[in-house]
Amino acid sequence: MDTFQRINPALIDQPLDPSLLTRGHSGYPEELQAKDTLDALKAAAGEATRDFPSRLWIEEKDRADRARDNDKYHTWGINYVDRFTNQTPTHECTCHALRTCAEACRNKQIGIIYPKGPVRDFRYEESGKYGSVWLSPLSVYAEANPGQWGGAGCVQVLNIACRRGFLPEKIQPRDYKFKHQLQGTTGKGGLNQSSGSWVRLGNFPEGWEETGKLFKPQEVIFTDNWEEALCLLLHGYVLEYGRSGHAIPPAIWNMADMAAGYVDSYDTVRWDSLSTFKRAVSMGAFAIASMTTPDNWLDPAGTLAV
Amino acid sequence: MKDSFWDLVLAGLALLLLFGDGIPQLPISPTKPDAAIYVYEKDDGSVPPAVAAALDKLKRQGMAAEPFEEDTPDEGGAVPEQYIIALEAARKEGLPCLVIAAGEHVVRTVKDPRTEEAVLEAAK
Repeated sequence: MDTFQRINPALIDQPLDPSLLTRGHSGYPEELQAKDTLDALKAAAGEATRDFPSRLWIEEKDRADRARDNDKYHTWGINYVDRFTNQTPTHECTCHALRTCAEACRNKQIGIIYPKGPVRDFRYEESGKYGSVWLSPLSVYAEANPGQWGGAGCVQVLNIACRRGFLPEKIQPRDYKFKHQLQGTTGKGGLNQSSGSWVRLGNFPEGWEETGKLFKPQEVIFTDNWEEALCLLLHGYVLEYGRSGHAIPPAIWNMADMAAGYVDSYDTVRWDSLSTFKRAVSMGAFAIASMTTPDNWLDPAGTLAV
Repeated sequence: MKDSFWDLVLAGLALLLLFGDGIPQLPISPTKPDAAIYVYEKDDGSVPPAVAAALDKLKRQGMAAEPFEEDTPDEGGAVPEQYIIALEAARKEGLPCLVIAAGEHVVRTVKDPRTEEAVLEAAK
């Protein structure tokens, strides 16, 4: 990845193809966006809430060097994302964005880098070899919106994840012998994401809370300052914010075009321009800084004799 | 001379038999590193990209090589078992600190490594 190369302008601030949507949005309508203030987001994360640490600030004059380092060593947030998901045509976007943040955080903790980031219709051998776990966006969305359609706010889904975690989804890169799993989406899914029918929270596998707590955000950093958000990207974090009817996980910064690249939940990477990034962050953005850590990355549920 | 030779042969056979299956186990080097843990506090900064890249290389070579943020708990709120030794050793030195271990034995610690080379060299 060379973040000093210009991006194809067609990929910057690209609106979603209407054929991917239902009722004209992906799950983040204006009425829900209006409730996602910075204070509400912070309250949603409870004990996991953290303000932007001042020592993560990178002076403007030093940002290009940090970006070069990230290019050289493949340490952008996107380099810890090992798969795409596809929510078409559901309203699960906030949860797909959140799973990207959570999975990238875990992979960063595991210490394995994916130099090309997520690749469509491809499974990395490293994902199974080093303990990447794929989390089910539906496992959070089903509680956030029991009615299935209409979407969910970032506040809602963050609160759910911080309170009781994600369930792992049914497709995994290795057999972890999880006691409880859930399909990843009721949408299209793909090679690395299971798709299945809608399920109510009350019909989750019995005892699911025991597995959910293994995949909980432990620390979440918040900001409404675009430069702080940029610093988080430069430090290799993956953000989440919502704007224009869609919630997304920015995971890389392009220095040539000053644009934020995000792993879109439609099997592709798209870009927000600086003005879009500033506007979105001003309403509140966050990054998951740490996830529950197991005693053994290859046996996160403690169900294997590894 | 001949008697001494056969005495030695008999003694060697006796040793082989004492090991049960007759195949002696070579002792494992107590100082051969199998873990490289970079312990840090995120409020003081993130893992330097060069260090992250080095840990990735070591991991691919078969070591347990990870960054560990000192406040990150397991699902019960405790320090994850796999990081207890590294965390204790790192806190003695001051964070950030690279802890190289062989099993439960801390081989060496390196305070605040910044380069790929520093990490890879420490892990030898």
